[in-house]
Amino acid sequence: MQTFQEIKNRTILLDSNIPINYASKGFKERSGNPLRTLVSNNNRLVVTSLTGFELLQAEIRDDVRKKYVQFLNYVPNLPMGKEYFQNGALLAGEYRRVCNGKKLPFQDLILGGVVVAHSFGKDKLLFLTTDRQDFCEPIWLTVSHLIVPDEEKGKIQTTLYLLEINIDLITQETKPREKKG
Amino acid sequence: MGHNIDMGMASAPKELNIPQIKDFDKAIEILTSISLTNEERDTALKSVRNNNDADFSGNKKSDDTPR
Repeated sequence: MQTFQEIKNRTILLDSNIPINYASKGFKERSGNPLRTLVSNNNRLVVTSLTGFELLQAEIRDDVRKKYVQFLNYVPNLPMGKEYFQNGALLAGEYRRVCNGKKLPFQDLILGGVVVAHSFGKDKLLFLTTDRQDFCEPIWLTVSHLIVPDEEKGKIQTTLYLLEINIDLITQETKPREKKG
Repeated sequence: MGHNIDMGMASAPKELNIPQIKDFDKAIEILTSISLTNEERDTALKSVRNNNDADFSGNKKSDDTPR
């Protein structure tokens, strides 16, 4: 298992829970600012419009919305392609097959479909999330993880997981689509 | 017969006027300046997931762990 510091020259898709955690009081200091660590090591952070939709659809104050929009406008946005949706649909079948019939929210399946589409070459897309319940083994493999302590001493606020999809597992019976270009 | 639909700027989202950030640390600074309390953070985490708590069979997800 690698540390966040050891992850270099990769492209990393952010789940919506990452900006939310960063927006919480003291998170950057308690976590050691892992996004800065990743960017310093020549990793490229990306989001999808789905991430923006998830963040902005919530009942939030105008000033908070404005700040999320500023952040989302800064991070490169992967344009949504039909391959992502097709792969997401295939992924739903894989969860039924290997995760005991587990059902995921549509947005998680589509985000999974994005990662599948960019997992065929050498530069496999990594996915940064705190949600290990939905992005679970054996479909998702942990590349690295980071425990973030809570304000209360001795407690854990959350764990950040850098995941890659187990492409060999899911291509055994399905034919996911690679995103060209 | 054509339809007269007003596509003017009156309906443009306010976000179009938000200035662009060009520096990573500034982007992080803006995000951290939101400074959500623990309760607000948990509500936000649930809000990005709870819309989908019920699957199409009407079942509720079993775990309560925020995303």
